[in-house]
Amino acid sequence: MSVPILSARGIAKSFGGRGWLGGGGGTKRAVDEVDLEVNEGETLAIVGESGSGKSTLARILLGLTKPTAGVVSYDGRPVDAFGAADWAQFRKAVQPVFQDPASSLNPRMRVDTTLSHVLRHHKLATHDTMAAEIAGLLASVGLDAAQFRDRYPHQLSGGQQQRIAIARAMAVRPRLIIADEPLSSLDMSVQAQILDLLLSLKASRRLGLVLISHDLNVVDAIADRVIVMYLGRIVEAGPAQQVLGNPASDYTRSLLAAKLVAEPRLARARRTAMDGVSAPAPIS
Amino acid sequence: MSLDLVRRLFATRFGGTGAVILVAISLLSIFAPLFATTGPLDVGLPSLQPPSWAYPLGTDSIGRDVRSILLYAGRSSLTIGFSAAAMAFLIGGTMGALAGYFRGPLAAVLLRITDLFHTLPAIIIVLFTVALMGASFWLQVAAVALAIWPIEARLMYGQFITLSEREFVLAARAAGLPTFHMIFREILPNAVPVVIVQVALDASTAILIEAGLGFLGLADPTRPSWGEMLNRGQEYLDPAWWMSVFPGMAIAIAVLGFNLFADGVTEMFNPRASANVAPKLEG
Amino acid sequence: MADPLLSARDVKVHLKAHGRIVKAVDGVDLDVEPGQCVGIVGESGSGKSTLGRAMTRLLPNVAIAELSGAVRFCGEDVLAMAPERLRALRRHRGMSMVFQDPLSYLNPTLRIDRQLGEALRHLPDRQAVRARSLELLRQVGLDDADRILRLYPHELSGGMRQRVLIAMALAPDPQILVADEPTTALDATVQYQVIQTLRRLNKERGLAMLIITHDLGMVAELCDRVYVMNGGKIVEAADVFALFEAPQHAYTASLLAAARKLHQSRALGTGAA
Repeated sequence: MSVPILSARGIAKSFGGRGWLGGGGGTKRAVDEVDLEVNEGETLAIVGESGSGKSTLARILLGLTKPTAGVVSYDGRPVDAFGAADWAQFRKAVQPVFQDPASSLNPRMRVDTTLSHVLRHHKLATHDTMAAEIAGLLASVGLDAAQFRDRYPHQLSGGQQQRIAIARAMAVRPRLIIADEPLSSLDMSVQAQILDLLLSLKASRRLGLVLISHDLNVVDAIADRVIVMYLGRIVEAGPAQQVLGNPASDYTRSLLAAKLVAEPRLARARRTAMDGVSAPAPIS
Repeated sequence: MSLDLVRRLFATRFGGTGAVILVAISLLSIFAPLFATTGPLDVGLPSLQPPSWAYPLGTDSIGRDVRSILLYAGRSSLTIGFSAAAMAFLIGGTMGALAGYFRGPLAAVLLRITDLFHTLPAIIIVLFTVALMGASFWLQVAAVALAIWPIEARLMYGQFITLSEREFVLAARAAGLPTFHMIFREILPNAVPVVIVQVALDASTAILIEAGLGFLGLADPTRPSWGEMLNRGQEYLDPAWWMSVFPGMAIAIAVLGFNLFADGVTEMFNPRASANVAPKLEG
Repeated sequence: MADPLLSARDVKVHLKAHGRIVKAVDGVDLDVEPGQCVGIVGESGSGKSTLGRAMTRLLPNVAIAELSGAVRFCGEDVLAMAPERLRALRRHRGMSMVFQDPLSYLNPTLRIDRQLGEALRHLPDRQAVRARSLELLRQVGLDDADRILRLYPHELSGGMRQRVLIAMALAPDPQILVADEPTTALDATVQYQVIQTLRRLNKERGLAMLIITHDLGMVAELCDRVYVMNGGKIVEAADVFALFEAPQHAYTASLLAAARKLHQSRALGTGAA
């Protein structure tokens, strides 16, 4: 395969340690020795529970946080060496979608303003083409422009907010979207819709996707490759089929065991088999 | 302020009352000539007359109409309140915003300066400035602003730090939007509602500091203010209580107005702070 | 079948919000038999939490426009109950509640032993309180009870906190536990532990439960009977197996379809093997 869109080598991030107050507790390693890469049109899932460092990793991959050690490369070139023009290109290519849709949109900005700022900055629309461009974007996430363009975030449901957040990410026609728990604060029926939306965008645009999630069901539905993180480290990585179907690490197995099944008979049969076996707690 | 904001302010418990008080005393001061019978410096009436039909708030020791001075004095006191608060907002807001947005060494320096001013009692800063540079009116405004800006700086800094981590701000950064956009379109509009409350409270602080200065005889003697009236009144407390009581009431009402207004704005932007609010509807 | 332990008949809760009346709960009938685990499933805004709070008399008073219907617990009318009787019920053999966010229901400045002790004030002396505290913590699967009693809430993990809260809810020896999204804020592995804890309490000790959740997976794991709620009304009530196998209402079917879409899994069951 060609050069990956985004790759990371030996990424580590520690917090604390040199605060103004001296920080007696020492440093906390949120991410440690992480290697990964994402290719064109590929979906990489990063699985982990709270404290696994996956959100910190997302910010590092987005170029929003500097790692303490290691290199993130875009198109094979390390971002450390980026100049302003390189960053502009990077910002057009790699886009985020966050977990909490309510907090993802500026509460004082209307939907069309949010989108038009991005489009204008990247010269993707002129004054004349703006309205049509916004309408097209909203249509691509399944929303009717006439109905939604003038709304403020608080006038939207959680699912609609998340669609707008995805539209904003899609506005720059990115090559890669890094989605940090994009479904977990949504209702289940809305989750299914947003999952469908991500799948269709992925298929129609050859979009790369880094999906950060604790939900193995979602990961299973969409991922090509899976990385399992535990306390900042990668414990297992490989093709989705292999990691979810034939996990090598105990931690992945316990994650799979803890997965809820929306079928009462199956759920009950499974847990009788598991009685007495308790999933190990992820807390050290 | 848009009509919608006004409507929401009046829907709070005290915000409307506060706004009405502020507008009323401002109008009375601005249009003082319409309500006053004499100019602020006109003498010649019988001195030390108690309140009566002719002189509703009495006359002072040198034969001026207390009602008339009170109205004109409101101009100085309110101007100090509003301008000192606005100046403090500009200085403190800018310092806080810069420190909060850029972080790093710049923030450290700005915050140390803020702390330095914060540790000095406001009245000391004001007395020192006035003693050093004289008691001109605008100098007094600047001195008061100098004394109160650290609170605004701290508050704005906190807002910038918090909002910078919010996901919509991260998304705007990830879209590569320029710094100007980040500060003025994404962060500031969401920070101002919180800070504006402090501005209103600072306006009342400024009026109180001015009253203190006036009372100590350090006000600009050419411009009557409520504090300066208090200063004159203290000598005549026994024979002419009306010389002190009415300016005292004026100060209290103005301070109350600013505080109620601040309460209202807080409630408007943070409905949870109010008691008569509907619970969040969940599942 | 015995009389229901907890029942609702035509319960309506209309709330005032932003000057409008919201019919959060609009004529709901519901029964929980002794020893039964009943689920209320719905999405956000369906009124399920409001219903749960109405049935346990934990609604905030200020915003209620209308509260009508009958809630009966052991034959007593809960909605008309005098405050003293309500307090007595909460202290002993009544209804206990567990909420979503454990941290906001624990006092950050008190050790766990003090907080559990608060709920055990009816016991005669400190030895009895301590013995019962240890017993309660072990019941919820916290085997390290001795140590946990000495800790502050922030020193516990999310799953431990939620189980401490369940232990506190069990302190008054309730006849029914009402749990509102008890695992939503938790990680998957921790969620599973809490669900196991709840299931043991229900199956082994016969504690009746009313589980309020948006998660059909949790319902499938735990519940005997399910009420599906939408727009303040119960749209379907059925035995858990019947509901999943043959949903009668279109809304239920759409929820199930969404859940299956998210729960479709090539790895099903592997972890258990």
